[in-house]
Amino acid sequence: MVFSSNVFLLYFMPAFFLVYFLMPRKTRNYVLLLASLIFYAWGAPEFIIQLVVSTILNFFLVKWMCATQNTRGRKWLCCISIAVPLGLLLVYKYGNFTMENLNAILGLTGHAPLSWRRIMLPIGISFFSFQSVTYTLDTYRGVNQPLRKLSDYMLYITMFPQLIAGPIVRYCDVADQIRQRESSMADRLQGFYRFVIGLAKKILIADVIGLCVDKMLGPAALDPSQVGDIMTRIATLDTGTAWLVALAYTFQIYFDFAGYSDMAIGLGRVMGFMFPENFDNPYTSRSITEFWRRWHKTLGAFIMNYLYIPLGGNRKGTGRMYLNLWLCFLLSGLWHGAAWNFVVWGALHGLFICLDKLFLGKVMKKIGTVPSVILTFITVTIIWVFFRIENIGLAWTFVTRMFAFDFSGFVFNGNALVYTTLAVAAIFSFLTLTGWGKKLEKKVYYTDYSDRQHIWIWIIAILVFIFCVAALNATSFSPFIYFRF
Amino acid sequence: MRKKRNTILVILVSLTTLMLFAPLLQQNLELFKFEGLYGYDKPTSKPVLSYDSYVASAYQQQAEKYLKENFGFREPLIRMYNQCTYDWFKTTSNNEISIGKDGWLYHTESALQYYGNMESWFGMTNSEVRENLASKARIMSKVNAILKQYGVHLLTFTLPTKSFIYPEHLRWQPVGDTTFNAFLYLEQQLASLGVPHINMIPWFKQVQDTTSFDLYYSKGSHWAAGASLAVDTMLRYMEQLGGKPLAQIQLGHPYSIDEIPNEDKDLEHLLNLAVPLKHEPIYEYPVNLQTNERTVYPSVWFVGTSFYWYMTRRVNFDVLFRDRDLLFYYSTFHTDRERQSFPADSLDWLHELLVHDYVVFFRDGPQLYHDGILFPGKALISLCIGDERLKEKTDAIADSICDAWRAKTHHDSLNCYHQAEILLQLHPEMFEELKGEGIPTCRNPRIGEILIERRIRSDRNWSFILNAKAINDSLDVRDLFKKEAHNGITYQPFLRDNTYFTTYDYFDFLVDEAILDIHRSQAVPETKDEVFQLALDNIKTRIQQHAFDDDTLMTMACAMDAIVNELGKENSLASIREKAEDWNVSVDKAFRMATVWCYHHSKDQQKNISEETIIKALEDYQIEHRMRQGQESLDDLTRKCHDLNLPLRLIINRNIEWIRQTRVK
Repeated sequence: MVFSSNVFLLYFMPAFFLVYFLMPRKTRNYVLLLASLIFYAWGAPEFIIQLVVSTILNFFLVKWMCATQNTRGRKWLCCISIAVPLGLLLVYKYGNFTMENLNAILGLTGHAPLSWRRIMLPIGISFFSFQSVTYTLDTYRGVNQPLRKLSDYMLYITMFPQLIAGPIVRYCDVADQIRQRESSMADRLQGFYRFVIGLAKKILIADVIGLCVDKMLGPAALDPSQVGDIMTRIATLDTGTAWLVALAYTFQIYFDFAGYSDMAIGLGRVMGFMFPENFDNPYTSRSITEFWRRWHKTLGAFIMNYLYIPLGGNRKGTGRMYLNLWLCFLLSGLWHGAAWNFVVWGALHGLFICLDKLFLGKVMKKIGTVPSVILTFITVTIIWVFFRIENIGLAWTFVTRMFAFDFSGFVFNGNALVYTTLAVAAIFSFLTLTGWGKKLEKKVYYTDYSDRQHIWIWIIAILVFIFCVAALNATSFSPFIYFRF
Repeated sequence: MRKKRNTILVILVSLTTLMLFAPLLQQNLELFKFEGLYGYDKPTSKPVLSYDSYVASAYQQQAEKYLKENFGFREPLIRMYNQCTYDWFKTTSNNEISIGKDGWLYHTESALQYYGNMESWFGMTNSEVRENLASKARIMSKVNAILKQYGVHLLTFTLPTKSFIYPEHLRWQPVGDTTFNAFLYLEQQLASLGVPHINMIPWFKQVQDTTSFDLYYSKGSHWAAGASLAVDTMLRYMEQLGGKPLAQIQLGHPYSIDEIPNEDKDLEHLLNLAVPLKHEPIYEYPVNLQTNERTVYPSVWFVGTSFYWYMTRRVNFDVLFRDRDLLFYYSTFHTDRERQSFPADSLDWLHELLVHDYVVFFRDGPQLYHDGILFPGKALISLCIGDERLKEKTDAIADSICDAWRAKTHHDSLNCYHQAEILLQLHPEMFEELKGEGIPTCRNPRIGEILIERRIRSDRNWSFILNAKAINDSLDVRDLFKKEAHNGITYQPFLRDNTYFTTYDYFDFLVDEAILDIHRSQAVPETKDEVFQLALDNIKTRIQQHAFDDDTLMTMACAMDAIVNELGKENSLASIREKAEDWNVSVDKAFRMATVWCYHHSKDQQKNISEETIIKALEDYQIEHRMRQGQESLDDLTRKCHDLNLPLRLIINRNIEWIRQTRVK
């Protein structure tokens, strides 16, 4: 179940909140847990057992670890407890990828390929696996006490607002809130406003642009039979169209992901959870390093705390620091998807981070804010091509078309709605570069509203919500004049 | 202060909750009524939960689709969004519609076809389309040659869609002559093979250049005034083909209609907007049909699309043709002047191809790109291949498809069979006997019986008797024709020699025929008296010709008289109400029972039929017929009948009486 669906917006969410707030405080965690399991079971019924079993197993492993006095024993139990979710992640997410590549190598060396059954990817596994890891490590490091109740731990792992697409909530961030939290009427309303902002980002911006991008590039995961057709199309793209498609995707992915995070944060706030922010105007960054401080912040924090620092960070010399940085981004790329294009995407980001450290960061600072923002944005846009197009050959062809300077035939099939949406996306992406834009953002996201403001914002939020539901349904309703025979 | 603030927030939270639940409440309680959305979409059935469907996520997917189609406030929400995107951006989320300039709407397929590239839509390159059309034209020429052998004329035309006549209103620039045009290509192919084909585009463009009005409505996909032009063109070509005089069409000076019929606004409807678009007037030609004693009324089988209905709305096909049927796409078959329609699955193609004088096959441009031209293949197979051989071949191909699919379930077997049928229709040369360039020599063995049926159908009196018998005995007239043909081939007694008629429906039929005869007669009656006299003569002639049971007509007329005179009175109505209460039935039911009693009572009295009675009955019939034609007046009457709590029949009769009185005055 996704947030931007009728089932969630018109059935699940109203029913859940009604039951949740009607129940006594003590039972609300149970209601939330049950709802989260239903939420997950609706979308991935075949994996609910794995999720529940692995969560229970991890809970007791951590409990056992905390009860163990022996340091070595604790370490071992910590490793096992981390290995369970990461093992599942490796098998489910990277099983197919590994076998495909192994068979490709075997094929090249003249050996018969190994037979294997394709494994389905459990939805949200990348997120809940990482959350399990943060729980284990935070308790191992003594940052927080382990949860006493299994239900609380399950709630932390499976909580539906952030189960599917984050933000990656570190255990230390919500440990107290799971046990006890308050949600005032203002929180509930502001949570709702935040949810509506996210919904609008997703439905009114990302989905509108996404339709156009999909028409030009085909679906994200291409069927091998489609590669030829798409290749023909991409190879003849004019430069203007190629840039517009790349820009469109740049905005689509941001508004899609940031929208989802907003919705998750908003839903959490309605219940009294304060989830960490995930995005901070990433396209206003003046370098790739800054971009990663603003883009998917919770992933960045996770990588920093649980990968970069354990690898040695910058404590083991300059060379090792560059290697660690590059490795972290390579793995971050692989975390986004089990395919070579994601590896390339991660590697390129890692490369630019290293270059920033070497000299680029200083150059960017010298040339001033606007040029550096523009250059960073262009770099990010080009690198996104490798994220969007799974086939690396296709992605490379696309990038070459961006620099072919061939303006012979503009074929971007956008209409006034798409162009307007792109303009709106651009305005909102760069709004905080201005002083009043920053003020506006602060006012919308982080201010306690007065009564009068509440009333006005509520009216706007309701209208936007209704419009989003209308758009969600109208854009997929395309009836025929007559029955097709 | 804090309390007040809290109250405001509580109200807002409560209102939010209410708003979130509103669609659910509307869905279950239907608090408000909204106009449904236009257009066809396959509705999702209500999902049924089972363990298997749940684990396979099939239940969830179906539930999501079902809820998407059935949540409360769906219609106004979709209309609101569509209105916003249309007003602000001139866009629509419906891929079927292409919004042009100056408020013009186009069917996307037709617009794309105009631009000569349908690859993105149908996935066929232009060279593939050329190859396909050339193959279809070759098959069509074989079908034409075989039909000619049996005296049936084949005529084909591709419908000139709006984009070709009015490209200047499309969003992009009009194209030059070098753009690939499937219309033109097919026409060239058919012309080189001698298959009769009409290209209406140049003619329409010529007319368009010399007139100030549009032949197509800007917000519809079909032709408006163009329909009358098309019928005229088609009729002239048919006359030329058959070498016999058909009815003549005279088109008068066009007149405008401000009230646009709903059917003409199909593209606007598909936009599903909240507020109707501003309409320009639509133009029509007044059509005058002329016949004489030499005029021939052929029987025609149309194989085509909805453009057909737009022709029949403007020109009375009943007057032009003795008999005409339509195969709508390949889905439904409409016969007997559209009185009947049924799914085309069980249609006997051989029968339809041979019992008519003409077969008219027409298609719009986009259909030239996909399986819209199944007709030639299917026609060729029907004419040349016997049923057993066809089944045997289809089975063999279905088996091989099933093997390929490794599908062994019942459902998949059916699917394989269907696929095999389509494959054969697309490639009839899969039959050895249909291969090669020459005209196939094999024939379907059922041809003989069908040709006898055709003779029976062309005999006006014979055909009339069987039609009337079908109505009288509530039988399918098509079955009766087949049975009569079978009687002929097996030397059994004919149905026509042993037929009596005694019902109200027959009277209806008789009046229909009488009116049609008046329309077709050389001298068009000018006064009401002339119309009645002609109808009366006609009915009398029929009675004499067929020695019908004229008691039927008499009793019918008497019954109508009795209904008007007796049951329409207030005291009779009061008595009917009392009876309704006594018998514990509705007033309407009691009224019907009283009518039946009147009918039998009149019959028992053995009244002699008088011309006056027949005239009155005919007049009443005509008034009521007109009343029923005008939907609004019928709606008024229905409302009145609810308001007064009277049966509809009584209200109609009163109205008839009132109209008659007004006329007398």
